[in-house]
Amino acid sequence: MEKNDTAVIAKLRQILTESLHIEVPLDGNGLISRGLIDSLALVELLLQIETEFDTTPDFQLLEIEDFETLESIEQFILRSKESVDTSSRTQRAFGEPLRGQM
Amino acid sequence: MARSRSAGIRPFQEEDIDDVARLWDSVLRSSSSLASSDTCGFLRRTLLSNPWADPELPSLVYVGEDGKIGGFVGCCVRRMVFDDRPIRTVCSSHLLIDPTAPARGVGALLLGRLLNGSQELSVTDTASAAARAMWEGLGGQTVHLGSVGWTYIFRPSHIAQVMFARRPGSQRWFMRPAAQPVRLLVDVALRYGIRALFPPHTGNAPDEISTEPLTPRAAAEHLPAITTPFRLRPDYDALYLESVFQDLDLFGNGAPVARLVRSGRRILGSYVYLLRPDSICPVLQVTTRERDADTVLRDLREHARAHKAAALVGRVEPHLQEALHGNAVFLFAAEARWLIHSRDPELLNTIHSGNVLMTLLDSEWWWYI
Repeated sequence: MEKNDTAVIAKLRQILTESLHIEVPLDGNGLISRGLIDSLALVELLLQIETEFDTTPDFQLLEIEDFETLESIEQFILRSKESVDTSSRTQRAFGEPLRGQM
Repeated sequence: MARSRSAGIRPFQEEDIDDVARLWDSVLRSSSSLASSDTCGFLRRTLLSNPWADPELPSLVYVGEDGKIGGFVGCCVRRMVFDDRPIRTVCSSHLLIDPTAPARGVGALLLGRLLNGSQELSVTDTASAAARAMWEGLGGQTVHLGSVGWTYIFRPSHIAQVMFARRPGSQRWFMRPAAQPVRLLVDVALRYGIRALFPPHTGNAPDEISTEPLTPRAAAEHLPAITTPFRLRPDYDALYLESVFQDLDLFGNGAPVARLVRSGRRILGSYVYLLRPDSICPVLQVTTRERDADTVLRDLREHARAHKAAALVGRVEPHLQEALHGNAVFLFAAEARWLIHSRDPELLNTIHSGNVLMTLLDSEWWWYI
């Protein structure tokens, strides 16, 4: 774990290094543009993210730039969790009255 | 990495055809028999102007920071029926990534976006080991029986010639005109040897068999009676079949042969294959009930033999398995795997259970051109 890493970034660094055997630069940048993550590694990374962070990536919103840095991956994880939270809050808010009407 | 305005994944459009054709040429040229000049027409006809093309399920391109197309995945929509309910199936094809593009993970994102579209089922017939790993990582499954091929060899010496031709320098004497008598002798000896070892399957063949050309209209009219018992089956219409038959005429590496097999007024089935005299002929479709498969396959074999095919090659499909058994057919592990992806577990189970009619003609028939 680097000094300024957040908990999410530290976990991502661990996944990339230990599970995917990718040498992550100290600054966590250039994962795509330096060719460190290829398609197979990306699929494996998404699987690990799903397990470790309990979030399902929305492929309709994902872009390759989301994987360029550890920080951008962290952002996409937080976005995904946020949209899951929002949709479950919406379900809670509107679900009861709708069921009540039936 | 600053994102340029147009960078990212978006639907494939008419104006992308030249760029995607260039990408096709740079990635697939060595393994495709399609002429360079035909690539644009092939992409347009099979992906954009196909009668079943669906704007909700487009092919996708990846546009890099430099504005150039760096990746592509083709999406061919197939209409099918599952338990009498119409469904949309996507046949994923031509996953092309520019080898010089800096972004290497694009293939996974293109495939992930395609598989997570609004279709009920996604399939591919042409997966390499790497593509299989990607599909399975994204929730796909391998249909193992559908990844096995069958071949019926009429003239073994021609097959040997085809194989030797791929290895320059080896066994050249066998290909010389002077070696013709040796080749004939090999063919006769092997033909009788194979017959002795595997006597032809006689089954309960109907007495009067007749065949006629299978037109798109005849296929749309007669095939539903045969396909209806399958839980998952194609939902053909004459317009779509006409388009596929035209595609085979235009781009097929061989003369397309489509025949309807009858016994009196009863339709036994049909077959579609590409005839290449003196060479290996790919079988794209055999539509029949399991009980009539032996008769339909026999007619296919006789047609191919009479027209000088050296061998037939096809995919093992559940409704053909019994008829293939005991007919001197050789099975082999196909280079390409049949993969499926769906959010509906019942649909996946149905395919694995074999209650499905989905042939190469319903997916990536051009793999064999």
